[in-house]
Amino acid sequence: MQVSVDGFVACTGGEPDWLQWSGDAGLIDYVSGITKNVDYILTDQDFEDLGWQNSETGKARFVKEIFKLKKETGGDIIVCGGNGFVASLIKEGLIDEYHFFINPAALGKGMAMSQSIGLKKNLKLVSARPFECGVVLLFYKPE
Amino acid sequence: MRKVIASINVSLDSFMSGPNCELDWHFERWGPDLAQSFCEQLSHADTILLGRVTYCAMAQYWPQKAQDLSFPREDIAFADMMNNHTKVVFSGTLTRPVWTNSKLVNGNLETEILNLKQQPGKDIIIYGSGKLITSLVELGGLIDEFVLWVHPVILGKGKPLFKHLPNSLCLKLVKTDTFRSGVVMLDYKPVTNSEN
Repeated sequence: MQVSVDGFVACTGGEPDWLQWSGDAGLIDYVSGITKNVDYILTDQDFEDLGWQNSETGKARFVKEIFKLKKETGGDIIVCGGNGFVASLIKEGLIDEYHFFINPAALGKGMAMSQSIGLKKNLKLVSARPFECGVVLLFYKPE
Repeated sequence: MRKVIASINVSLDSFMSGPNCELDWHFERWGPDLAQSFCEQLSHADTILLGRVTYCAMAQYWPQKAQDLSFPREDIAFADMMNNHTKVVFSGTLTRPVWTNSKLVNGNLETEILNLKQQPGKDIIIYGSGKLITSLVELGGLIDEFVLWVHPVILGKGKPLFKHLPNSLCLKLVKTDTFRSGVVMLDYKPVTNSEN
């Protein structure tokens, strides 16, 4: 998840100007590393495209699909985005790793990370890694 | 000129406290290495700037901690500095600050801060004080460093850092540090227009 220092999430569809991706080889390498073994990348755009919207039934159906996907053999699944569907997965304990990319900007407004997560959750820090461009990766697992 | 440093504990989703000012999640992750880092930062300062809410909470907590024999030894040094440093509290409603070495200020914020910065002395630290920090960011250029202590917890709701910031603030990462309990320190400087 791409976030600002004050906890706002970058949503898919239009790269916001505060994201610090471009040209940082270390960061690009890291992202390639975590996406190398991935079969599925699901964003909030996919979620909307499926017409499930942000309804309880939509979320429940999504959780069920992810649960099925997890049981299959194969690569990892990445979920990214902010409109609340990630919260359903966290609630069900379906997330195994959290990678937060903290961008060096405070926005004051936007889509709050808390809104997409929606509940109190203790995590366990695995590693923290600063990159040249000023982004800090915070890698957590569920406690 | 003296530096003004905002030193703020935040949850991973950038809340400074729970909705009713709950700070239990701070205490759960406090430990000797974190205490040492806080002590070092505070030892480079001689003045603490606070808004009314944070001031009142701290004024109730720290004076008795210096006398508490069950308090861990490494924390006593911190408690002593909290009690002995000059506290400058910005409030239009507080009438009588009771904590030792406190000074009440209710004039023009910008003038007061510039005045403080120009006086000789060590760094000036701001703890918590969300409203005060947002006002200083809005006035522009008054905070020289933002040190965020990011705790490994998502709170879901609470008092946000930089509430109602009218313009976004670009920062430059200076350094990071990691603590045993999973707290990560992120040290930033604001990017001035000439650097853009």
